[in-house]
Amino acid sequence: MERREDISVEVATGEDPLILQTVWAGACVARPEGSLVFHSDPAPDQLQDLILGRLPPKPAPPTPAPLQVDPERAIAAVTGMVVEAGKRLPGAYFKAKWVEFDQRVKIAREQQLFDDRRETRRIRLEGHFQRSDRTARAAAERVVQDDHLSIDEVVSETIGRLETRLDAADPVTGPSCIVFAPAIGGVWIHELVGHAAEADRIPSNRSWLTPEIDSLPAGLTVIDDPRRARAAWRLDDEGTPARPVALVHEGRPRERLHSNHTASKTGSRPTGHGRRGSYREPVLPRMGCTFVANGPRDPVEILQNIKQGVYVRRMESAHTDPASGRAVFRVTDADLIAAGKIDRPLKPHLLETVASKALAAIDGIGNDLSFDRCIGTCHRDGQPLPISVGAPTICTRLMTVRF
Amino acid sequence: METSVLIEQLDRWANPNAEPIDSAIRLLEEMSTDHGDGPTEAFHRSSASMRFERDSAGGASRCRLGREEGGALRWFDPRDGTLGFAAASGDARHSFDQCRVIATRIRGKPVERCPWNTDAAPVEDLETAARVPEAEEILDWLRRNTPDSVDSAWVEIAVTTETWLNSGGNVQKRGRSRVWAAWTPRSEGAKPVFAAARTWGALSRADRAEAWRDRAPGAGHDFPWPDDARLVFSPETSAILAHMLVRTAHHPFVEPGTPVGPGWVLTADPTNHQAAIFGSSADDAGFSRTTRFLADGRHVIGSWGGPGTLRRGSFRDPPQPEPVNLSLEPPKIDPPRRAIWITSIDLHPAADGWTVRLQGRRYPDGAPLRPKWTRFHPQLLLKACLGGLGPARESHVGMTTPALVFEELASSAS
Repeated sequence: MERREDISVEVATGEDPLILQTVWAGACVARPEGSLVFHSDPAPDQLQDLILGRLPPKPAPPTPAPLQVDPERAIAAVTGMVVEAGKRLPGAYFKAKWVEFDQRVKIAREQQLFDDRRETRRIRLEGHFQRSDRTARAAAERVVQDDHLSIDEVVSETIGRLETRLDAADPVTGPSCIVFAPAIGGVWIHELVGHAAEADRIPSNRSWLTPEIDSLPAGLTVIDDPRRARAAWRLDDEGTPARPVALVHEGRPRERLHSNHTASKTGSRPTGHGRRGSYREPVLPRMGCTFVANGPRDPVEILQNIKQGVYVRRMESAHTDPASGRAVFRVTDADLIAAGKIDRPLKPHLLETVASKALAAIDGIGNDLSFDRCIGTCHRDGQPLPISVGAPTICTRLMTVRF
Repeated sequence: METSVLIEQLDRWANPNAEPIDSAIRLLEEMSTDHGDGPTEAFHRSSASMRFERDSAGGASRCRLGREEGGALRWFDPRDGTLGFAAASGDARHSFDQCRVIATRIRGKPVERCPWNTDAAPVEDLETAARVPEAEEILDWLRRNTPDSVDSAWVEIAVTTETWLNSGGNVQKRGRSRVWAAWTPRSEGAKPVFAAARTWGALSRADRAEAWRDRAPGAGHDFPWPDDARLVFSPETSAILAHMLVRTAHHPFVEPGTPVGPGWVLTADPTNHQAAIFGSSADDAGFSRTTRFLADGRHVIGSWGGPGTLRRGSFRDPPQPEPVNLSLEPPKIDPPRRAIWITSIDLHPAADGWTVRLQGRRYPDGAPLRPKWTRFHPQLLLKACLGGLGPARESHVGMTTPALVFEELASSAS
């Protein structure tokens, strides 16, 4: 059973707040033969119908539960961000957004009842700036943790990149050396390693990441730990305790991400990664917080060894085919690397890669692990899930720039 | 596996339940007390769906059966000039109660582009109840229409009833059904194939052979991409490309008059809701829908925004403008002597236009070509549209088009 509140507050320069708030609840029963029966807002006495595999007759509605999410704090935060950014860079257009959800789940399995709560808040500021015939766009975002809002940090980062990106140049297309800024490489690893490690891909050979792969660099360790994700879960949607899983340990493929179903099918230990996008969807093995462990290198030294390449600061979408390992990333903020130093900014472009080759070409993992500078939602089989990523500075010698 | 839930839902169309309307009237009265006499709108949607899945082994099948209900409220408070939006799951009474609680907590401007309907004419748009097949009939059809190259496939049948009421006196009751199908190919990198129809009868009658012929793997990708050949997009890839072009070139903010090629003859016909997949007599904010001519083969002459184009993805979403039932009717042209038949397209927004990955075959000999990265600028692409080849096909995205033929396009990407 799931009950969820969502609130989204958006404010743009010169405009009133745009507020959407939704509250929804539902339940789903997974039957032994693999079928699902779901219903929105069932009253307690209707669950029996779902368990028997049928939809209940018209219910007496349940009593509304009190609302948990406070819209006032969100409105104050986003309004403050736009006002502050406008003061610091007059003439620019800013749009700030607060996205928050609070999800409570109850899971009944094998005579036991489990419950868990997942909640997350994030803020984002996007700016558009024009000076004579040059235009720039930049964005920054943070997870709101406890009462720390990071507004000043987000505003400073957005304005800094806006002014810099007015001079963005066309990137050089073709094979290139790529350096991912701290945290950003987590998006890359999420796509290349994480999706390939989802255990339901094993039976039909739909993953390039087989146990026999021996081409990964010895310094690469990739871990997924849902307990430290921005929308962390203590128990997954089957009531299994979540635990950290080493997907790659010192260059060798290790464990997979399992739901109870994939674990029993492959004779593995469950990992607590079985999640649903909502009560209406079936459980799939999903990532929580996927990150690359720190390496030994000084990030400055990694840069100094590169004659020419791209320093990636933001990626806003990505797509991967876990069977072939082919992936495409949309880079929205990056700089040229020339003679070991950060040079001029580059216009938005694509990076294309094949996982096995790009990972084998890793040539430097920094010691500056960082999390959640590029905050995204992972969509798998039509099911959205908020995820976290992390990584230190990472360099790979083999990706292709498309423009 | 039971189909009775769908039949029960269909019965509700024939005898629309008064409960959502009664609850909406009560909500509007309460909102008037709380927020003054500004326009207020209550919307409720109830749907039941049934999905049958079949895996690659062919034997195993699973069913997903469910019902979802929820309501939404939009209001304008003239005392402080603010608009609000709230949504909650549940039957009409329960969801509207929750919406009212939310309405007391938030002020704001939810969808500034969404106008208010002040038309008091009631609308009743109830489709004739369609036959709901038994589970065995669906699974048997899936068995017969799933090629060996497919890893998994599903069919989903859903029926929806909607009630809409505003403080201007406009009342709507709607009922409709949809059938969707999807096949996920086994080969690496291949995308799922989707199909959609109003009824099971329409879906099960349609011929799927051509889509599968386009997707059949070639002997290899060894042949280089010729630079000076026309591009012929299969109906499936034409639909994807044209849908993106419509969003760009016919956006409500774009002024009419942009030149287009002779093949870009485009109509949006949401009123054709008896034959096409989408559409209805009124949009999801109660405005009457009308046929719009968007391009005449010379210029852009219209856009898809404004009253009559508003749509809610679910009860959780406020109404937003969305193009519906698009139809391209380019003049028929002779098959080119040399061309590239495009079988797959990936479009990525770029700094100026799109960066695109194409897969295709040499026409007419069918030799598979290496995938090609290139750049498309929407305006140049519109001007390069010459005409159509073969019969028009309706895609699951609501775009009906034949294979579109484009002039040779200089590529600038690597």
